[in-house]
Amino acid sequence: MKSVPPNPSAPAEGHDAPDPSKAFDDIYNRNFSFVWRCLRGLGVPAVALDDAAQDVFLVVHRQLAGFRGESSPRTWLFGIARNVAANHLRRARRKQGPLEPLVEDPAHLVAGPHEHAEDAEAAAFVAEFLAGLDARKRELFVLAVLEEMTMPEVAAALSIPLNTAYTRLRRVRAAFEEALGRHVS
Amino acid sequence: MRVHDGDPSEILTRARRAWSPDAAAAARVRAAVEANVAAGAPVAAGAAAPVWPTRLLLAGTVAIVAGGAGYWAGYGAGRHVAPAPVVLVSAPATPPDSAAPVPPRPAANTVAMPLRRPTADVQPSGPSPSSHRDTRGARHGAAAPAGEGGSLAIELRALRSAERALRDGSPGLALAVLHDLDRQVPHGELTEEREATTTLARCARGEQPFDVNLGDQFTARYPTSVYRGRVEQMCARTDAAPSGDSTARRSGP
Repeated sequence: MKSVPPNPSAPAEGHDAPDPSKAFDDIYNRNFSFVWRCLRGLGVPAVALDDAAQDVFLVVHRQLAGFRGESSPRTWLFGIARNVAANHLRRARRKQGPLEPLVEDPAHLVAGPHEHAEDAEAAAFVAEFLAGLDARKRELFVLAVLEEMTMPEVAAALSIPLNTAYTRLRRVRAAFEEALGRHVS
Repeated sequence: MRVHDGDPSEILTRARRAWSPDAAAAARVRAAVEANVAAGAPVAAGAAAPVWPTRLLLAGTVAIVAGGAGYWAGYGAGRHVAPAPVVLVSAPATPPDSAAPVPPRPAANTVAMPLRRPTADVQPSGPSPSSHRDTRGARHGAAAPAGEGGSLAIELRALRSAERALRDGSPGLALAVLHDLDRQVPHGELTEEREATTTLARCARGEQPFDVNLGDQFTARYPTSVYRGRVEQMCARTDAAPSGDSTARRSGP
């Protein structure tokens, strides 16, 4: 099964299309992968991704008519995804569900065990790193580093000043490289 | 390239790839969104605008206004009687929980929006969605009666459970869930999803009745299904190495 190639720089427009169903189609088709990866990066376990993504797009469907395009669609979507992820994690903590296996991406169940081993290893390392960050740094890492959004977009999505975003980015990058160095050694 | 080689950009690229959804996930979530919209299901997310403070404020206002009206009505009648109790139907009985499902919004606030089939930003692992799915999507776009909505919700819940059981390596449990679903909703909406999940579960258990490849059967019936790739892989893998839970068996020679 093929993975979706990330395309963070793709324009995510279409929100101002006159046809609401077309607007939803555009938002969904252009940003489904973005939302999915954001949810994963924010700590939603793979087994809950379907539910979480569904929740995000149900909110999108309901609120799309009120979306004025004052922010970029991805900024808006990230705000929804962040709340959905937080709620999923809260519920999971309350239920004390089973611990998530380290590598449990559905793709790995379909493809051969070695085909994605290196991708899975990298993803596991990034997941472990993200789990050690506080929420603010994790969100910034997901948007700026994983999704490669522009810093003004990141600052807008996180509602922080641009300079603060740059400062946090430098720190979180340094932390990532330090963690990687420890892992390698 | 491995993590141990320590190239940050390569590791990030690989992590992005590992976390990217496949076409089946895009289609699955889209179908679930459509079904929920058609069924008028509530949004189980705190991402929606928090309605409880507004409701609490509204209920409090109603209480004050009603209480005041009752008092002045009694005063005007020459009797200082306590106002009649006011039932606050809008206020939550317990402190609201932002993680709790948000109740369905009134129909006036919902966006009536016919949905189309996805042309997702994903590369399909199989051919494009089949034509009968288009028909089903059109059905979902129409207003669904309450009974149908309930059946859809049951189907969705059961399919999710079966999918999770499959991921957990318990195809026997997945089949049990699907059999139960057959009893509850014998003629549901999500026929293709049900058959795909059943086929996946049976192949995961190593079933090969009368030497018939279940994957071939499914693809013959749904030649353009988005689940085709996954079914083919699972059923082909069964030939080489049966997998599954402790109830796995191989009925073929």
